[in-house]
Amino acid sequence: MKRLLIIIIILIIYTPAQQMDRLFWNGGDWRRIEKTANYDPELTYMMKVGYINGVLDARLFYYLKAWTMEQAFADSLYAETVDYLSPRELVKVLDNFYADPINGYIPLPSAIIICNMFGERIPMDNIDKYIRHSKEWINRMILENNQ
Amino acid sequence: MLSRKIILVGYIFAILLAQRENRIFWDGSNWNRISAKLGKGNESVYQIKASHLNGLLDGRLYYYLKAWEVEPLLAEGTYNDPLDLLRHKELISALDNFYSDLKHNSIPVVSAVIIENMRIGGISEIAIYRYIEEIRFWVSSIRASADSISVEILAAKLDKHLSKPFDISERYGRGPDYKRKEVLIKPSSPLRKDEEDKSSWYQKFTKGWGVGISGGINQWNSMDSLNSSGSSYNFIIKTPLHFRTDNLESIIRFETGVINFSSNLNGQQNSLFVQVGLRDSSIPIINRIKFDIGVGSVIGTRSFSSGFNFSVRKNKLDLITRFYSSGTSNKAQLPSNWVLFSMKFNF
Repeated sequence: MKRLLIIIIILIIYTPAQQMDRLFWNGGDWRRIEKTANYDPELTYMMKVGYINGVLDARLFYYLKAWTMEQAFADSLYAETVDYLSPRELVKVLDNFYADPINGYIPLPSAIIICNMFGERIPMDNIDKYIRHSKEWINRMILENNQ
Repeated sequence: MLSRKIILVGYIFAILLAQRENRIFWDGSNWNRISAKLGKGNESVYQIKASHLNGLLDGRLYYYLKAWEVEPLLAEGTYNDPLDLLRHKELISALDNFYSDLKHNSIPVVSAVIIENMRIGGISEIAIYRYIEEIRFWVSSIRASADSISVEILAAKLDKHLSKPFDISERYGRGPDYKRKEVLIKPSSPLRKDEEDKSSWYQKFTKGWGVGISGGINQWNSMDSLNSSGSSYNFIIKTPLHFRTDNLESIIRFETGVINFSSNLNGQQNSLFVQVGLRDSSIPIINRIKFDIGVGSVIGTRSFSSGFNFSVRKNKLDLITRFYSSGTSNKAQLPSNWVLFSMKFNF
């Protein structure tokens, strides 16, 4: 009885600890879309494109809003290219990118930028630096969010 | 008859293209098309709409956090719209309701999300109505500008893209010590100004000089006086007498060295060469080829040469094939014609 109690207490403590505070969709969510769509390729594609369009629409909307307030600020904040690849190409490149589990916790908005960097043939050194930077950034954000 | 068909097809294409409008955001027509395509009660409709809303919220949060790191006050001002007062299910049903009114079709989904959150947040209907009209006007004006200046936008975008081939700003992983490289757009060979400036006077002076080794045979035809082979080594100096245009390059080089024939004829060779080649051909290999004409003396005998110069490593290693003719040789044993194969290493 005592043992059972200890096991239950451990489980109660351990289960919330396993949950990670996620701020954005990341590789895990991206891969899960296929399962959610019941492995229907067309539905999977539509969900993925829907998400990408959402990110890009929000970016454009707030870029235009920021631009009316402070042009230089808006131009510097939204300087990166996110529309070099078409949505179809972007979905494919994101699939490849998240196939590597090490990229799993990079947020999708960052991954969209990275995939466009791949498309633009930016030197791999710079892309690696940006990936590292994105990992550090999201870790910092999650820690700050937890605090 | 065929030309009529072509004109008709062209006309149809022109009309179809003219009918397409520049849509900038996902709006009511996209939102309603999901249900129309998959059927209203379909669970997939909810999943796609939820994905899009997740994308919107993620995109907003991502750029809010990025902006907040740089300019917290501006970020607060820009991203102060209420977007998360409703749960996804509630929001989707509110948006379905909003877009069921056809006159809202042109309102972007992101604005519609703000509108529905404003409703829940207790904002008055008059303020909401004013916001909707503002958004409608704003979207129409953007669409009109996009229609009229889309070519300029594309051109500006291309310019921007080309002007920063590797230009990712510092916050994307480049440290403060990163030095921006100035890379010319579509140069015939990439030039870096920094490197050019750093070279000292003797490097500039010796630029274009080279050393070479050669080997050759003389049995060009049965009339040749002697069947012998030869080898040589030489030192090559690029004279200042060279010119270069966008399309053409000409270099005048002086070579001096030692030549050695198997018939025990050893001696000095001095030659002056003019090398001419194209620079801006669309076929890259042609830019690496130069034709070579020279005059000089070999073991005291006048010689003329014509040849073919191919750069294996641009400006570093050249392969040269030359046909020599010493014409009327007063030394009976000197072969009158021979072919020389050379390798030249440039400084």
